[in-house]
Amino acid sequence: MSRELWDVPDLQLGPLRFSSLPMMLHSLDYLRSTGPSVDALIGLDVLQRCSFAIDFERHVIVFGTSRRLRSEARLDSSEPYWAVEAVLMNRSVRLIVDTGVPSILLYRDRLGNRLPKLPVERVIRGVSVGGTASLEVVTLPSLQLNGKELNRRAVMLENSPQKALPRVDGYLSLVALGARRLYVDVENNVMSWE
Amino acid sequence: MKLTKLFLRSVSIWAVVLSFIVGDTNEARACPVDSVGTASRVELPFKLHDGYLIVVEGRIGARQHLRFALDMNRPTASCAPIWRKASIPVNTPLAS
Repeated sequence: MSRELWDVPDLQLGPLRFSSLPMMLHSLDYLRSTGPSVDALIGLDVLQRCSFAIDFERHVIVFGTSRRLRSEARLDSSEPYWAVEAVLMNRSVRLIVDTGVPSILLYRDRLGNRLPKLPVERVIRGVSVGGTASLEVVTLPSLQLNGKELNRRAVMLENSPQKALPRVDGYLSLVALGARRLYVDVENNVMSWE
Repeated sequence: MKLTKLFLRSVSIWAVVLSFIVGDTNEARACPVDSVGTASRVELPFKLHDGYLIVVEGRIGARQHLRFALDMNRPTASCAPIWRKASIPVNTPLAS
């Protein structure tokens, strides 16, 4: 698989125009296999440049400073991703904030004894750039982000990627927030929603 | 079922690999565009697929109506290599 980084000139997203943007060239076939046809992915190199809000009712992303919303959580941006500290059954779990997953995903081997054995409702196949894997659909007993209850529907993946994302327990889908609107304050590393 | 097939889309070690290539993305704090007109706030419409995947329309060079998915778990933007074959103007590779 190609891992080439190219400088792509003259890129436009709606009213946003970039004279130059580094883009990684690699196959996106895994996306096309199960979902809508997508030509490219927008990463944090674009999103971290200024604060933005995602309005799920109006279906618009608004770039620019806005007011913080009712619930909020601190984003850890010390790694090349945004992570939050959530509380799973009174124990802390570190989750990557992700728009590419439809529900919370947890690595069973990372959680260890922080999560008791849960009834598996069904087993499904998940598709990623790394291939396919079996996922167990479960309902978590309790999961909170800064005191706010999240959607408890989740999938469990037995094994985490070896030697990668060492302090990460899983992924937080924005869907789990149940938000009508989400605001990411990149200057202060705070995500808020309502 | 369709929804659940997509759980692992962005679960990969790419984030780690790319971090070494791209470097610290936190350095860029300016507005994300070269030209935003006179408005201080810029709205970008999107379509929501399968209840979670945010897709916006864009272009590269003369290639119109391209679909860009928002991926917060990705340090840098990505596109398919097929674009190189389609003569979309790109400069010399920055890394390989």
